[in-house]
Amino acid sequence: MSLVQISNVKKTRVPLDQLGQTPEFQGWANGVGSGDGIGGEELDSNSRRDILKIMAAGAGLAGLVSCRRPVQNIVSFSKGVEDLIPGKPLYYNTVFNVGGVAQGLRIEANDGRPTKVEGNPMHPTSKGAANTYSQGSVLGLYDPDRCTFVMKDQAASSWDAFGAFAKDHFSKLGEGEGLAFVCERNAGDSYRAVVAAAQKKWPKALWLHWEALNNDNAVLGSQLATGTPAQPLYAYDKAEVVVALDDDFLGTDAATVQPTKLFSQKRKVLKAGDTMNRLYAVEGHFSLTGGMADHRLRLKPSEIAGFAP
Amino acid sequence: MKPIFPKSLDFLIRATGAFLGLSILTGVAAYTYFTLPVNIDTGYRPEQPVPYSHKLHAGNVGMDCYYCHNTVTKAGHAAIPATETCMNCHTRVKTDSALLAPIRKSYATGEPVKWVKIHALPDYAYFNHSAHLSAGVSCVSCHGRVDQMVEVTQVKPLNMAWCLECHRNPAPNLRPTEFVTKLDWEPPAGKTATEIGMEIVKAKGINPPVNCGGCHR
Repeated sequence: MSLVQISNVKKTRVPLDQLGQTPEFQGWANGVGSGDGIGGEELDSNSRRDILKIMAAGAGLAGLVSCRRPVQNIVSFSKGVEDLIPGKPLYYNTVFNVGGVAQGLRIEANDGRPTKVEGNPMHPTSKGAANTYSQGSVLGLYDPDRCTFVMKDQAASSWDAFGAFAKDHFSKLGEGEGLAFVCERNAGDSYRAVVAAAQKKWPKALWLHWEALNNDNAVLGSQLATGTPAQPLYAYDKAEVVVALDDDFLGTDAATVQPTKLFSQKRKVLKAGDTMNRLYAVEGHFSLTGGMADHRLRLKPSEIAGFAP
Repeated sequence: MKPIFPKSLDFLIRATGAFLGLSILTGVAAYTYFTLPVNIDTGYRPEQPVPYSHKLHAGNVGMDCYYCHNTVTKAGHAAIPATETCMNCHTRVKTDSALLAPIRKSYATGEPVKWVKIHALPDYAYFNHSAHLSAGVSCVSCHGRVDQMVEVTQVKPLNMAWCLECHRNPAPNLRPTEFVTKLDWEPPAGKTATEIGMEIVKAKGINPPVNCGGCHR
């Protein structure tokens, strides 16, 4: 059993530390052969001879390759693609949601494959800028762990099967008692329309939001301050003093593109008489906001609530 | 004491040495000459999956090059047209021709037709069609009279010396851009092509790169 064979045991990706725990690898590492009792097939003269044979044949054939000009093919489309000029990228404007905040993006696509994300310069808030999440989102498309098909009961299924299942299953739900939708927040109108339609059909169903980037605390805070829960949009371009309490609004927060633009607008001193804002950061870890801050106070996250009056 | 080798052997050794040396020199010279791009690459005429006749379409019927190679002024590649482009006409013309079977199959199944590349530059040489066309270099300068070819043949060597020849003196190969696809274009009476080319060089400020980085980027 060679290493190559071990790595082929499972087609899925196995982390190296787990691969090291498999009995096949342990046997190989300890010199226990997988049957012949000598010590593995590494010393098997047959396999070595085979390799030499293949190498010799390859070297012999290598000379023949150059006798004829290799045929190169030009493979054109069968059905043309609108607006596509072969060899030139196409750009698409789109919107990317993270943490319920929409970012206007412009995507470069080469031969139908998105390759680069940039901010949409015509979008009112992104103005040509994109943050780390949207820049990295293109990699999600090519993630080998991404599920590319429908699954039911841990087995591959199809969209047609899902359609048949959904039609049958959801027609029996009545008012929607016991039904819950779990999804990420989305700032789009289409999403809102879908939610409204679902809630109209199943009035008793729950609609829940669950996601990695969450600012429920800020929404609850605005409820404390104003009486109604609201998504805060800070006017950093008007603020003379900004105090960030464990809030990385310039770095890893969901909405960083517009806050960065507004903040730097007030930060720049372009002519005499311009004032400059002042940033205080109170945080328990290193962040971009703390790095930008004029004054940074290091506090445990547990003490930040006490710091705020 | 009698010498082991006779005196006459000296001549034999010299003659053998001279013969070997000459053979090697001749061999190297012959190999160099017969593998020049002008000998090896010109005349390359592979068999295409469909015997598309440029002579019939571009010559006799008089279709413009741009009808099929429509992105040539916009991009570096001179794109081979999609199967759809063929079917614009061939849904009505010669609809049951056996020669067109691969085209109809490609159109029906979506499988592309694998055309064979004829004019191939090495990957380390950058070439941009649109830049040459907007300068006023005609198709004919590099591809020859394609409108007279039943099967397209490479007629120019496409080697570096040949590229540089024009890059050093572009005027003879320049013409007004509206005539670049008119392969039988003749300069108007009283003027030579070079004179017109010189005017274009002046008007457009054409200065083709002759440094290495111009093409080997």
